[in-house]
Amino acid sequence: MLGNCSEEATLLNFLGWAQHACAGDNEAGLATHQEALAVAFQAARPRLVPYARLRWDPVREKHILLAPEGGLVLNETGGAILALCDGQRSVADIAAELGARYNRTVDQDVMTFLNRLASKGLVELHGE
Amino acid sequence: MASNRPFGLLAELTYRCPLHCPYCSNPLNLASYGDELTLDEWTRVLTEARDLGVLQLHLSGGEPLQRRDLLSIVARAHELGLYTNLITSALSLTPAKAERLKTAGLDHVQISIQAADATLSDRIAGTPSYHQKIAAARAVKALGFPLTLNVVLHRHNIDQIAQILALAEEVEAERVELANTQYYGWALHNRAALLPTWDQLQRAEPVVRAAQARLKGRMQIIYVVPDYYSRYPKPCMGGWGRQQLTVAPNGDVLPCPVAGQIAGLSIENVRQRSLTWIWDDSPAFNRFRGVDWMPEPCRSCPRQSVDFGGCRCQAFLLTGDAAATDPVCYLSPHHAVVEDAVRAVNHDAGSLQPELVYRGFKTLATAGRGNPRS
Repeated sequence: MLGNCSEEATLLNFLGWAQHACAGDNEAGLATHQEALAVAFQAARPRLVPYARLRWDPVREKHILLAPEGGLVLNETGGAILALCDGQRSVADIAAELGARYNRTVDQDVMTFLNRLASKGLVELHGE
Repeated sequence: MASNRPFGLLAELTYRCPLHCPYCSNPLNLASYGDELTLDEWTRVLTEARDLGVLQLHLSGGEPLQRRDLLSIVARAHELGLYTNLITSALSLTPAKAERLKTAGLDHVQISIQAADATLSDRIAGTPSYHQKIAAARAVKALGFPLTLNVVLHRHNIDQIAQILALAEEVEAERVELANTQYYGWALHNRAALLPTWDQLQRAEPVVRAAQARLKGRMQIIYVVPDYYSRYPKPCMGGWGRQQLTVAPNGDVLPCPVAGQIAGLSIENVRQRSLTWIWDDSPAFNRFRGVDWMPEPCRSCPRQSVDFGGCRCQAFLLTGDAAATDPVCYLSPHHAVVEDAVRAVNHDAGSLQPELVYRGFKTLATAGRGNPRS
């Protein structure tokens, strides 16, 4: 909306509190906060944690994400997303780049995938 | 060809070790493995392992730092694209050595400590080592390595679990493994002196859960309860010949690190056979693959795809039959052997304090390949 995800997330965060505290509308406040989180997430610049390694495995013909104990066998999209997680590109950049490559909207796939890896401690999300 | 490709290789580079931990799961006949693979032989094994699908290399032993060519082994593994994990007592891991390992491409370091204070840790290790280990852990972190702290738990240190967690937090380990002793090798020999009591486990559990909740996102805490107290067996190695393989110091290739203790299993060696043949076609790796070998109660059990019948080595060591259901399972016809061991520890905890037998090359002059069960 504002062209700057970080400012937009901050404003949405304030709006959420205003809806909660001033208007007494918890539901609308919570929904706005969730929107703020999603917008902030778009601005994050994900990268692999230092001990995770992304490898192409010629035996299984898949990308594999390796960590101290075990690893994740990735599908094509997962491998493509992680290959772009360089700490420079934002989540929005990655979604746009892959969307253009596959000629379809992948925003939700990218967010879900990166959230899952962040919760496993394999991806770090850095702000702007 | 086997449909599953192995994911991890445990490379036991040597059984030499400066520590003498009585909970060690290495075989009792350590001296039989003295004819160690050379650097060239390990290079061939790693290359074959990579072609077979191995992605993760755990460098272990014994103490892998006892190998003078460890740096070269790490460098070769790194060139092959393997994720390399050094599992070490860290006794001789100086900052300079750690830095050379980092340059060679080592990805991760796992350091064992035996307890949360020097007196107990050194007593369990059988040698002064605690202060060097902590110094090594700090040096490893300073180099930017991810660090796992590993503590094998048993009756003598499980009451220190809060202090152990505090220590792990203090050295800023990314992960801490609190793994109760598994009763193989030296540990089985010392079982009566090592198995914790039910009360100890009841006290430890909430401490671990609270720390896991508090440190979520900062430090991963892996807690493994002793399977003797479980209702069902562990899914040992993720199934026989399914995900992992072990190469012993002399080149023996094993479906699990303890499988060399199973009498009658014809163990193949990388000096005679290719790793691919051993994985795909050897009788040892096919012996307990899938579910066809299973007896009842596993054969008709819905959990057979969860725990794969438990551990073949434990079945052999406790019942004499490697094809039996793991006696840890409450449905096993042999479950009484586990119940008896647990009962003895809990009912005689005050009086029953057998001496610990420390791991060593000459400690048990008469120890054979077989079974130390009493």
